[in-house]
Amino acid sequence: MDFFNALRVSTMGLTVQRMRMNVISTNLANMYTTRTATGGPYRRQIVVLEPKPVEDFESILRSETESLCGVTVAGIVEDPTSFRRMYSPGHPDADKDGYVYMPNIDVITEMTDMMLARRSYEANVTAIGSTKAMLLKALEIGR
Amino acid sequence: MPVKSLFGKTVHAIERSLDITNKRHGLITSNIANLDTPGYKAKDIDFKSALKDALEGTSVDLSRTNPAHFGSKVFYTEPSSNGTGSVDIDKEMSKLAENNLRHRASVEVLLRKLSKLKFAISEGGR
Repeated sequence: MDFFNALRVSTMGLTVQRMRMNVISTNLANMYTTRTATGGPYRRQIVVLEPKPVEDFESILRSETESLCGVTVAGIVEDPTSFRRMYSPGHPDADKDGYVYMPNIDVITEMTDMMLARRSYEANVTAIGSTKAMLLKALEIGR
Repeated sequence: MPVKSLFGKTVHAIERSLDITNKRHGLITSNIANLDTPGYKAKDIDFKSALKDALEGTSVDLSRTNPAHFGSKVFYTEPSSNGTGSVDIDKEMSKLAENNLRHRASVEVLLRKLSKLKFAISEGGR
């Protein structure tokens, strides 16, 4: 059934966007974290996405996997950009010049990313609504 | 073929139309799900040419051995050079709505065709 595959694809989209939101919240929450388990300040994390073919029996049989494509998280990687330096001589983690290394997180970038993730989430919700409407309309055939 | 003359070309054409809208819907949802995937190529099929191929290519149902044969002409939009995918969300959402309306219209035509048949079978609703 193509419609259920469409639903599955949209659900994968929802999952991925929610994951992005989670990672963004983690970044925002750790904006001033200077101590981590690995030592040093917290590093900004980025979600990397990749397409994932829907693998059901039918599509494998017809080698149609090219055409219908879900999405998945390929991995969560660390942003390698340099840390922010903040002057705060009283801070226990300050170096001898009075500077503290803060996580490489920019609030504005995180907020725009969050808005993008939210809009993408909404787009997937609309797609699900549309799939449902089409499925229900098709059920009317023969009534 | 008596059954064919009963249903005519309409049912056949609508069946194809529903097949194509189904397939296109799958592609559009794939595009929307991959909105933020880098390097993803947006996919689409042209409804008109797919329907034309489906109606002209097969005069008899039996010659269609695999549903994937028609409408499988998938167009790809190459991703732009700035590293993002090639999905244009405005286009995808309007295509989603358009495809949804096409599907509803096809179903509606089929419903009316069937109710007309019922009307004739029951001798004008007597």
